[in-house]
Amino acid sequence: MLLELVLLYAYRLMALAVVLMMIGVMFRKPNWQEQFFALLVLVPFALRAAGVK
Amino acid sequence: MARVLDDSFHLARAWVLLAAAAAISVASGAIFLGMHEPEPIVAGPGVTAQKMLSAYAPALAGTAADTPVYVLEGAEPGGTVLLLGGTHPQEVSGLMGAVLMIENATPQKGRVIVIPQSNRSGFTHTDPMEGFPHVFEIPTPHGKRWFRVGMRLANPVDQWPDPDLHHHPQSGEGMVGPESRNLNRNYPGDANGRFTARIAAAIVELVKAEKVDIVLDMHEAYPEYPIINMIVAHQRAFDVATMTMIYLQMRDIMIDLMASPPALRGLSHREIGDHTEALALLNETANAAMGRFRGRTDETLVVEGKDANYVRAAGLGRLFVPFDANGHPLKDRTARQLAVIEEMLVAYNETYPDRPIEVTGIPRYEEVIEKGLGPYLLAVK
Repeated sequence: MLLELVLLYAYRLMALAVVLMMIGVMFRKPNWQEQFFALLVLVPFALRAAGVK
Repeated sequence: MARVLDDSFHLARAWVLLAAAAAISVASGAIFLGMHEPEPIVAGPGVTAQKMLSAYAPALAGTAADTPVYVLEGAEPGGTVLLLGGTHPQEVSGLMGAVLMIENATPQKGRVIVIPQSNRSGFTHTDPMEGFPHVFEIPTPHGKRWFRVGMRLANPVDQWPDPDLHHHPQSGEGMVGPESRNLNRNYPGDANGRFTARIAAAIVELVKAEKVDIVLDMHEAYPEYPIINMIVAHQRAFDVATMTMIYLQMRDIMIDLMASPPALRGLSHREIGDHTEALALLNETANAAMGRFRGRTDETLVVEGKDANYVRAAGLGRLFVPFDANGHPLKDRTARQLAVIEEMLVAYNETYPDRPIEVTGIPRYEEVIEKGLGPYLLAVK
């Protein structure tokens, strides 16, 4: 049970890392396509980091 | 528009897209979390106790296998009937029959125990790639009540992976792997087995612990399936089932009767009958939304049960029930479930007068067909 919890929170931290990276992409990349793709990646990973999905 | 897409606006654009991402995440997250909200089932005047199935199998507590159990106890002692709805969650007349009993029936003698969502996990998803609606609504005098359309099998989130073959442990009968998540192929269950087997074991434990005298498992089937508008009965329940069928036919409610095949294992009517003292019966009504001929699969089909393809199939002689432009609405199918309960109890009481189960307030078949389900659904407080 403890191992499962550790793995679950490790996964959520990784998802949070992806969210932060995508926010970074949104603000650093001048190209609108790259910013839009960052949005497409950010949403599902935000839900996973929040434990909703 | 072209200027907005220009690289020089990338910071402003980033803020807009970030705001859009937040809005989409919150909205979709809220919708997803809302799918976990249990639909309200209102305890009617006859409900004397409410518990969870885990009261009979503590290991189910806190899991998706646990499900509410409603007890309706009469003032005078007598026998006990167990009504199972939602064994196959997309067979919604079983759920609605159970709900209408909970919200209307009042036992005078004996007890009625109702599990409206026997496979509660199956209510948390729908048939993959079949385009089922997740919920349907019934208008009532108090506003709309909503109920889930589920799926035949437990959610794979709760039991995974499926084996290549599902072997019924007590008999060795082999079935396709996904049937390992079919509650009605897991009886009598295994308290230490996989998720679905534990639900079956808990229900059997309830039957034994409460000394249930008679069990009715309420189901539906697609109109092209031969076991339809039919009662299936364990051999010990055949006398009661035969009388039930006769009484229904005397009311012009056409219904057939089939003996539970001894070699078909894992089903409630076979295994509850074999492994407990209870009489075990199962009832099937016709649901076009489950069939392969159906057109658009939407809430209207689930509730109104009308489908032009099925009318055509009936004309070609491909169905096992009559099917015209009026279809088989949910109110009619639920009315059949209630009529079976009503006449089954009459037949049972005549056969076992020393342990009577007398229940008032069961919505009448003719009235449910005329008025619909709404008048029999209570206000949610």
